[in-house]
Amino acid sequence: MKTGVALLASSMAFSSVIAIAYWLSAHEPAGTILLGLMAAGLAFAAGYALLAERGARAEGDFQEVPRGKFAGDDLGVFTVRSPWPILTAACIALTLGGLLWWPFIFAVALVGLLLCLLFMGFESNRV
Amino acid sequence: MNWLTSTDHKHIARLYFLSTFVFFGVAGILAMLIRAQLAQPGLTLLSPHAYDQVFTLHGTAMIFLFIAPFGIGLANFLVPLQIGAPDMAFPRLNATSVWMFIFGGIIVLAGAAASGGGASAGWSGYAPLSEIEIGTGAGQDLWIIGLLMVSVSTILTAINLLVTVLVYRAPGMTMWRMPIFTWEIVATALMILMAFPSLTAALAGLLIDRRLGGHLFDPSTGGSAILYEHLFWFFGHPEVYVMILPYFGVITEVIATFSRKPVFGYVGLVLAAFAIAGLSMGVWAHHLFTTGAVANPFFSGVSFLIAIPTGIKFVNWIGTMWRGSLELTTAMLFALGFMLNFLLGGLTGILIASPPIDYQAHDSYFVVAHFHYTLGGGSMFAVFAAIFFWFPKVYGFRLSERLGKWTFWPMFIGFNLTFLPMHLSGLEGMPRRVETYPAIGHLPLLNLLSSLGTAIIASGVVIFLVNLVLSARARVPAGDDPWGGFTLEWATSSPPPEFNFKELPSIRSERPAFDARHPEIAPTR
Repeated sequence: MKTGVALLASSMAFSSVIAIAYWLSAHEPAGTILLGLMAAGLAFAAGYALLAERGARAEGDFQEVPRGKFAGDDLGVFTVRSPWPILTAACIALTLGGLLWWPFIFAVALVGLLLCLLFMGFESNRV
Repeated sequence: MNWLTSTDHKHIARLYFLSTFVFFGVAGILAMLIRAQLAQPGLTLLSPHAYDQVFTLHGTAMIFLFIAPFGIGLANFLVPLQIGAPDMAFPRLNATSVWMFIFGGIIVLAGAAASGGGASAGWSGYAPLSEIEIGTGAGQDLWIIGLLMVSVSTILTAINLLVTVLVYRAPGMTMWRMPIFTWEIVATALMILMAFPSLTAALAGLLIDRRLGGHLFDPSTGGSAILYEHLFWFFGHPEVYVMILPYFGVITEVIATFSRKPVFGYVGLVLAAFAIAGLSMGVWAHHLFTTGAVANPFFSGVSFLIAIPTGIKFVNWIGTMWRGSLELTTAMLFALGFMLNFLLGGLTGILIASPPIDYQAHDSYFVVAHFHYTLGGGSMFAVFAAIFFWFPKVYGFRLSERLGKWTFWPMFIGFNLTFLPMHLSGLEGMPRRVETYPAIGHLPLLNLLSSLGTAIIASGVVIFLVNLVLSARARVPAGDDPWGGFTLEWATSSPPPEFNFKELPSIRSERPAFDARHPEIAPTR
């Protein structure tokens, strides 16, 4: 995790420097806000990794691993099949299209989208 | 029906490969239409409005639907394998992303059949041009909706890839042992997370302006067209590197494998990737030099700086090949072709990073030549290097090497015949995005050469398709490791089983598959 945190923290530091340098040299608000948001996003990620995940150690963080040390460890369940992703994507497409041209389709697709997300959540809880 | 509902990252990657190649085919046919129209001055194969639609869809499809998402597909297939994970961190999210991409792509292309014609404001969809109704009816709206879906899908995939790498590495696969390709994907995913929300915002704003009575980007009603350009290019320039960094990873893996040497300067390559990613977030307004509304010295300076880490990568690749035992397979030929083409594209990039030169070259064919050398001669050649390198792993059988080389040479010669003359036609003043040109100077000859070159590229692609069909019929088994590869994907079967590995080898370096084959020289700790 140390490398991951260092990666996020150094990206945040770089973004902050470039945002400040941009404001000082350009005095232009749109770009400064975009760079500032980028720095803020990275600061959140780095801060979260530093505080909430402090001391967390993934299996991949171990340099030396005796063969079989992690054999049989539970990595969680990886689902192999689900109908909800394709239905969710279809509902998103219809919702966006409906928003512009067909209010009825928009309403139906929006309900469909919410149901898909709900069922995907239920399925995710089961497996 | 299985492929519709599968959440296995390998199936999803294959969906990316298939769909991006269909979109590539469409974009390629559109490119040929463009070149047919421009083969001679004054041709009327396409009306001016049809020409606008053709180059808009060509650019959109190549960028949003082929080069960038093919890299995403490759990452989908390779990252879990290279780090020893059973799948992506969020398989359902992954499947949702690929279907959002496919539906989004279909919607973008379907716009061409809309009443009033397809989108015609260029791949960048500049406002207020993309906001007016003249010739931009429902097609432009469908273009926006489709790209919104593609954009959100890409953001979701970036989150998935990042979490997978941070959390699901196999025991012993520390970050500093990850293959360079995976590192490049980490840098790419971070860039996507920073840059793509800006595209999503720009497209949503455009939609609000067009359909919901907004005035965000229309200067005639108090909006700001420059704001759209900022939002678009804050995404658009990092997007160039989203289309390059994964392929830097591809080239590194291919060159190391076929030089029979470890990667030269592993740490340097990783740091260079992040330097490129970071700097590329601060160069967006070099696309706006000629507006006179941005800080040209700032953007010019940062743009020049990107040449340094890119140069480092070239040093690393040459260092990897140096005194290696080079094997000129098709993948290696495409990698070398990538290096030559990308070098030229990079050098012209340094030229137009200078505002005085950019003022001369802006919106001319010189710029068209520049970005095709980076994305066509660069990324597209790396796509083919990746195909010939990993095809046996993905599908379990080999492509013909002989037909592969017959694919490479027409593509390499055709590519340079198409785009090298464009530097000269640009310098002679030929503007881009115009359906004809006057018969003055060398323009007719240069354009004819470019059009001939496109036909030669197409012949290379046809040979590739023949190769696919013949190889699929012959189905010569690939074996687990046909190339003597270094990274973990070569330590499992071809194609890999469900959840990827029956058993993982010990991971003690960044070359675990090589170590497993040569335990006598593998690190012991």
